Amino acid sequence: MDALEARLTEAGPLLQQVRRAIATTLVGQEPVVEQVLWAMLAGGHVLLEGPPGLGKTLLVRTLSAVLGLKSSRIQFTPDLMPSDVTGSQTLALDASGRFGGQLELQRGPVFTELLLADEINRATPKTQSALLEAMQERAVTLAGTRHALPPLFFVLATQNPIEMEGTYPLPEAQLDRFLLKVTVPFPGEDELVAILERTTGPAQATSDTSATGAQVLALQALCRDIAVAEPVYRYAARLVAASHPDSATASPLVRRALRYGAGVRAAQALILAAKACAVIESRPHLAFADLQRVAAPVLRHRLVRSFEGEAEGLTVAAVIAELLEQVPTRPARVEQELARA
Amino acid sequence: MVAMPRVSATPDAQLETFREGFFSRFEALRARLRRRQLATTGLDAALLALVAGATGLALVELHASTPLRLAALGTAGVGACAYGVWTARRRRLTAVDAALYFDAQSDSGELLVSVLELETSATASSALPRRADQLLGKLERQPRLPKLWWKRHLTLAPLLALTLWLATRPLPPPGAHAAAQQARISAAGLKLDTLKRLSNLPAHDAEQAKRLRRLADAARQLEQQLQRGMERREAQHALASLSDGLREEHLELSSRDERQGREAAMAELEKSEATRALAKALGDGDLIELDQAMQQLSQRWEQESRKQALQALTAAEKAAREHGAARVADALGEQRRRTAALDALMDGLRAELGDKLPEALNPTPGSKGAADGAKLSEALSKAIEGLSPEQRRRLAKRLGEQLTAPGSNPGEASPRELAKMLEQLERPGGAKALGEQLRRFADSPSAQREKRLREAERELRQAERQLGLLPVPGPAAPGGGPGRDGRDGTPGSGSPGSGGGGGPKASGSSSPPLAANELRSRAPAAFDPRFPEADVSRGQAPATPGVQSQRPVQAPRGAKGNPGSLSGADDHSVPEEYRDQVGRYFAP
Repeated sequence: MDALEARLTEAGPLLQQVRRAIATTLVGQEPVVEQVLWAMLAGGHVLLEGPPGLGKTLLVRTLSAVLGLKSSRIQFTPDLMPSDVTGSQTLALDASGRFGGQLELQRGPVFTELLLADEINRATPKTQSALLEAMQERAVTLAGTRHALPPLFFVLATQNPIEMEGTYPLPEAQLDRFLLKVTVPFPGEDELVAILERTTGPAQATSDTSATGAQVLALQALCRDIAVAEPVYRYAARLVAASHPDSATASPLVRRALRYGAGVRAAQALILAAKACAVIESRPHLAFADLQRVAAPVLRHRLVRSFEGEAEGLTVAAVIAELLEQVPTRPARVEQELARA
Repeated sequence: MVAMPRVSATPDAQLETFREGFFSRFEALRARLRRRQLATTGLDAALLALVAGATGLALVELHASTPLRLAALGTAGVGACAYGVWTARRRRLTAVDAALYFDAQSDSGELLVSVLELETSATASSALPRRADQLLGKLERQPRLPKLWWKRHLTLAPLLALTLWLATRPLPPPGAHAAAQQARISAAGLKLDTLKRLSNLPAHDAEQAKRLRRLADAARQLEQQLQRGMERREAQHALASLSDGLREEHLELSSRDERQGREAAMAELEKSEATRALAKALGDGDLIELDQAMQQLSQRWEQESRKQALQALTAAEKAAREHGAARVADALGEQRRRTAALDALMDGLRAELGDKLPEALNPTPGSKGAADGAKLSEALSKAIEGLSPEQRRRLAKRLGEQLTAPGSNPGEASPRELAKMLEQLERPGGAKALGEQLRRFADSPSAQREKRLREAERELRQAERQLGLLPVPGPAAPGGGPGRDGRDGTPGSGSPGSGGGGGPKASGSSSPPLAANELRSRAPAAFDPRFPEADVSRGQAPATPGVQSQRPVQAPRGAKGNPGSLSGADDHSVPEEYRDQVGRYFAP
């Protein structure tokens, strides 16, 4: 058997095992878990958006436990300083217990493998920038020295869409650093009952470790090996291009509803997230359907609505749906032949 | 599970063999797809060729030309071939397109296109070809090619049959008719003088005068256009319009709505022996005949006869007006006024000449009266010239006193005018003016108008023949009828009949005049120029139901036709109620 085939064969059960382990603690939210796994396999970061109390923190804790990763959490507040995130140098005590004039590096919570940045929009832009720089560079510079973050550095940031008072919404350029923006929906009735049963009893279930950090890194490598045909690349490019209001291929709705379209990072994110999809399905190649599945979480935080779009109540979700409907996957001549079949 | 190693970039020999097999099988599948495309395109091209060919052949039918037929078929064939080639090239799919097509048909998630695209990729492994191999096996069994037959292809067979029928049926003879219709005609020497002089006719009222002027202008314009040359069809149309206009100007005495008044007037006229001929002319509805009968009546110098005639005319006019026959009443009134004027003149002359009057009016011994109105006028003129100045003054005075006739129609010679002329007779040229005045006085304006209208119609028909728009009558057939003038026993200018019992007619034919007494009528229905000849197209619309038409009639010798009757045959013996009933049945 081919090595790629073997790796795909092994990846399938492993990911199934991870999902089952998460499900023992986190009830429901399968789409959220799925999308978080896409981002983790693609090596990107996730912006979770949803009201408080929907298990975002629990998801991070469970993920850390299941994957055996070191995790930390930062509760973002307006008075949070960048050094509170990245760390700082402090005077070190000598052997006699006095400050000897030596500086000691105090690593911040960012030096971890799985970081939960809770309510990231409550911190000032300066602090947000410190985290976002670390996310992009996967390194932190303290006192002129660059410190690399762990290879499996994965950020799950949350923001509350309801309470906007005293918040600092993330600028579009910084939102672009997140691979996906995952919307956490309110659980259904059955899921809510299951949550109540598990959380109000004498003991809470815990998830066992199902994978290691090395295996996650191997899955990330496998994700990069997924084959992508040129028509699939073209489809991703057409999708992104059509999201620009100034583009010739933009639909009237896009022209009316959007001020800015998605950028190059969006196209990269589309392909990477779609590859993660293919890995989860143990498929060695990318399909148009993979791109269509990941389009919403990849694009929803990258499309900037225009004043007209906001006034008319045109949602980004509607624009993405329009893009998927209008942008053809195959050349016109192939579509014509398919119509004749 | 430990970290998995990256795949080797170098494919092994087994993978290479695997790939070769895959590509050959994929190409075979692609060729099947291409063949199906070509077959569908061929069917579409054939359909197009048949549609274009059938349309072209149908158009060629109008021109009836074999070379055009071949050209139509050739054009359709070449056009269809061009369409087929263009469509085939447009539908040609590359290998990647074909892979996308089969991927979509098999819902394989772009497996085939990934294999094709990553043929030389360093990351390629055997994973893709292996999966693609299974997919190809499935596609080879069920290729899911584009549909070959469509509903539109059901029309191929009928279209083929239609095209073959159109291509093989014998062509109609060259379109002489169409060509003739479109040909131009010109007649530099054609004159429509009578028509052009219609504007000088004494009109019944101002509206009619306007219409007559328009007819004259139209005739003038047509003459000019014919001199320059014009479309045959346009000429036909113009002549038909003129003919219609002339027909509308006739004074119709035999119309259905005036039948009752006419019958009442006829009854009044038949009471007097002197006016029976008038009654018969009125029954025929012929204004000219009525005028001639009136002239003959006026020539009688028996005072009693004229007085009876005057009374009968007055009663007839009154009866006609009471029964709503205004046109009949007007015609009779006009005759009554003329008779009264002549009566007054004759009485005046009788008073002056006494017993010498018959000798003065008719120097020929044994004759009862003048031959016609013109002779009477001449005789009257001479008789008046023979009077002394004193006698003339007395005559004029008497006429002025006696003739206080009601207002006369325009153009009618009034008795007052006569009186004035008598006064002026002494002056130079007065005798000539009096003669002219009396000649005008002889004919009624309505009769003059009718005569001129009939002459104009004859001229119009002559022009139609000259232009070849009417069939030229054949050689004189035995029994060709006498002309209208021949009915009185005088030599007429009857033209030969058309051989089919077309009946007598008064036309301007160039046949030599024949003595009417030597001729025998085979179909003696009187020709009425107001109705077109039978079976002759004049470029007009087809007759509508209820419109009366003149048909050839076989009638016994001596029978007289009535233009107002349905069949043109004499129907005096048929009861009036029955005629009326039959007339209503055929009325629109």
